Amino acid sequence: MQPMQAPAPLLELRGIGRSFGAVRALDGVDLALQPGETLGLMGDNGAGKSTLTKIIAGNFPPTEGEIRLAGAPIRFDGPAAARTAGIEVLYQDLAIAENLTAAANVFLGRELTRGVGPFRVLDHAAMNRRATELFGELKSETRAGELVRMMSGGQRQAVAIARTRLARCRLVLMDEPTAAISVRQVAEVLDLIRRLRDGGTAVVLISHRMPDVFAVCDRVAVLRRGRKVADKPISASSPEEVTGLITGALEAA
Amino acid sequence: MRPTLLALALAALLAGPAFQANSAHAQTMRFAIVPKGMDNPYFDLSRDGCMQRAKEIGVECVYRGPAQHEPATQVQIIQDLITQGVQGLAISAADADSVVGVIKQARDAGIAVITFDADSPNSARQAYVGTNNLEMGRELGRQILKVQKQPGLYITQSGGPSAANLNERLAGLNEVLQGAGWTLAPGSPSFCNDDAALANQQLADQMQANPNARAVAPIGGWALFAPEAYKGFVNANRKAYDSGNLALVMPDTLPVEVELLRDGYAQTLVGQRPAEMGAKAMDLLLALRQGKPVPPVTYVGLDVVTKENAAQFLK
Amino acid sequence: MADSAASAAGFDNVRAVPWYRRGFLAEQTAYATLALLVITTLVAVLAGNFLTPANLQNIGRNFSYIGLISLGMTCVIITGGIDLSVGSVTALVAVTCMLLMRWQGTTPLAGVPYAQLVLPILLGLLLAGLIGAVNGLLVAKVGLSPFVTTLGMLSICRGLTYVVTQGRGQAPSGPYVADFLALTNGRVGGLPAPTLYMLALAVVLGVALRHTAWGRHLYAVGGNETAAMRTGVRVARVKVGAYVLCSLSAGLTGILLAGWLGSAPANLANGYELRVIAASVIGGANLAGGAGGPLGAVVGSALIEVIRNGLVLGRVDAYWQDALIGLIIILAVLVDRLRTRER
Repeated sequence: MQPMQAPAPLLELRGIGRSFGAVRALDGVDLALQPGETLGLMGDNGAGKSTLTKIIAGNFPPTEGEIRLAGAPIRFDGPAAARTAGIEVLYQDLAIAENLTAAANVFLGRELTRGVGPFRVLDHAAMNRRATELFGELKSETRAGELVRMMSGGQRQAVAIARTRLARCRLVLMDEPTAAISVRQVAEVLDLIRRLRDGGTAVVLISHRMPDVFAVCDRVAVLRRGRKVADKPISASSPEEVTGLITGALEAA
Repeated sequence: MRPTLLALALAALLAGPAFQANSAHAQTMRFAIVPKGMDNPYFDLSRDGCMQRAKEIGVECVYRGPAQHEPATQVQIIQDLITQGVQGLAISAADADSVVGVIKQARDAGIAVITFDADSPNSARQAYVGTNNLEMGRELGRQILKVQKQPGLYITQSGGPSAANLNERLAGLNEVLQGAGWTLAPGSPSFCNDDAALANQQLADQMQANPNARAVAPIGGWALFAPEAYKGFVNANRKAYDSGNLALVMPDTLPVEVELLRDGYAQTLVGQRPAEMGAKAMDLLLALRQGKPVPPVTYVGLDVVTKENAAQFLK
Repeated sequence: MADSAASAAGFDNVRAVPWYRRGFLAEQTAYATLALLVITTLVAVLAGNFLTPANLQNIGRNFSYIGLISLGMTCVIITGGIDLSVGSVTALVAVTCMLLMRWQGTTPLAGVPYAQLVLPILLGLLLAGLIGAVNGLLVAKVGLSPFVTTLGMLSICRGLTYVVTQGRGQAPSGPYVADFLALTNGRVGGLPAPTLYMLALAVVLGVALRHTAWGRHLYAVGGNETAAMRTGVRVARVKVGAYVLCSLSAGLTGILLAGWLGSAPANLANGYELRVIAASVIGGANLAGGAGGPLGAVVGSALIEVIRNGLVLGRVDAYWQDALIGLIIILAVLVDRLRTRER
């Protein structure tokens, strides 16, 4: 898919750096993402992938650099702010509370309520209905009212994915979504990514699995020791080249 | 589900025999004696005195109080004893005001109520039996003057700042000693919260801070309830004690304390008579039930134990 | 919802959850309630005067104090925390309220109708709230361990209680003593006031936990704090709220106890923290966080009180009481463990 003609990219990172004490986790990373584009973000453990994800998701601010959303500089003061701006995250650990129901997890942090003024109660029916719909769209046999503790790995994945589809979002960050599920479920996730792309949602796929990235991504970016060492169309790269970039056998591409 | 059944079976097993074992006596009169806390060995003596006297006069004595010294729990237990239908109550008030309401409740239910050891003067209790604490404090002071002629610094210790009886004892002690030219050591009294281990540490600390102190006179026997720790404290000050420059006059005459005295770890003990209080309590309650007049306040005497008469307290 | 395991498709391999692991029966509280019923029946059969109205009144009032604090404690435990300071907060608030009552008589406020009744109570509760806020901020914002923080607070509050009272018990005073006693220890429709306060609070808390976003966030924080943070739940605020609520419940209890006893002794509620935690745990609150509820807190407190009362009425050797309650605590967590492991 060709990069779209747009006045400004959906998301643009300029010179992002992040230090944790003496540790330099990210250093001068530039990255641009067009609407509906699918980017594979790759790198070895500790290369800075998850730090970058957390900065985009509003978990913490960068030490230096600028984030622009549709051309305008933006600063998130928390995950809720990033979500309001249309950025959803699918965390590797799924970020679900096992002691809550599937629907409660889907709506966690943005519960539907009804009532007047400060006296607002949860709208259980509406949330269950919407969650059931989402599970239906995901072709998942997950019951909205059941505790996540009772659920299989695939159902939990569905709960976490349903959460990213709750609001119309512009960008979904997926942190290793295929790491811990069966082959058949991997196909479902990849299919989902394609559907998101077709719907105009941009996706950043963080993955160790080369075949997944090459199956669905338009572009691939590689991080090594906190720096971006490559950023090119998937069609112009190869698994061998990316492996070399990740390990450092290739300096840059 | 099975674990629940197991739990229930266990509970029934535990509770069943215990309940039955105690439901035999119906006709004899039943008096309850309620200590401030059952964790205090002092009240064991009251219990024993009470039990023995109860047997002699043909009544039943129930000993029941909060596991640890706490006013609200004590009131709850007294309520339960009222419900249980005892005929008389002897209460050592954990807090003088807290028991006022429940004592009225008991009286309204036709139960004879007296206080022992710790009074509740504003309540509807019919009598009080206990130590004259002011007099006990004075006696401690007089005994110090006997073994230590030359006035100086003295160290003392209390169980806590709240107990009225302890504060009275302190007043008595201070009255006699300061009247004879003695000075209270800075940092005295220390408060040990009825904790025997802490009591010993505090005594040691105070001696450390005032090495020239000429008397150690806590107003309760807490330190001696941990005999080995107390021996350590005395041995650390052995030189002053053996040369007659340090008076160790201790309250109470529990067996463990008398043994310490016999073995040379104190010159004098001034004892309350908790067992006599327990026994007197039974007499008073029986008299009240029989409609006989009783004095509003009964003081039991004090025992003064020295090496000479220690043997008779160890029988 | 009740459909059986249909064709597994998509992301899952569905299995229907057996009936005894769903809904109310899936909760520890159900077992605690059952145990309460059985033990109550046992005591009623074995101890003749258990079912007298006066005794039931006593039990109702007695367990309300522990029950009230357990409601607050349950909130803290749901977040995965613990509050050891409740017993001494109870005492500090009780004596503060009494002292304010007396002190206000010497100020111009003495002329304002009911000020000498209302202000001490409100200021006492304010103090409780502040203590809770300090606990909560130290735990949630500074990241101190709840156990150590509240252990320190336990000592601070008990110490302050002795400092301000010099160890002397404080009695309610002023022109509104009768109103104060009616408010704290009156009776409405045959029920003791403390019981009504506890039941009312339990209902409000029950609704709040189940039907508000705040309640849901409380469980989320206890279930998976990281997940709650990542989904935008204001974790620190939720935690501070729980500690404030817990302290408030302890403060209210202190005021009610002072009314019932007609006195606020400095050693009031000494050791209550352990009884409160025991009641919460028996009722199904999980110290690991994420589970518990008001019904459990009430049932757990009632269970402890019925055992205590039953042992006195049944004339069982008093030394047995603590051992029996300990046994029940361990059975409670044991049943919970066996039940959740049998999959």
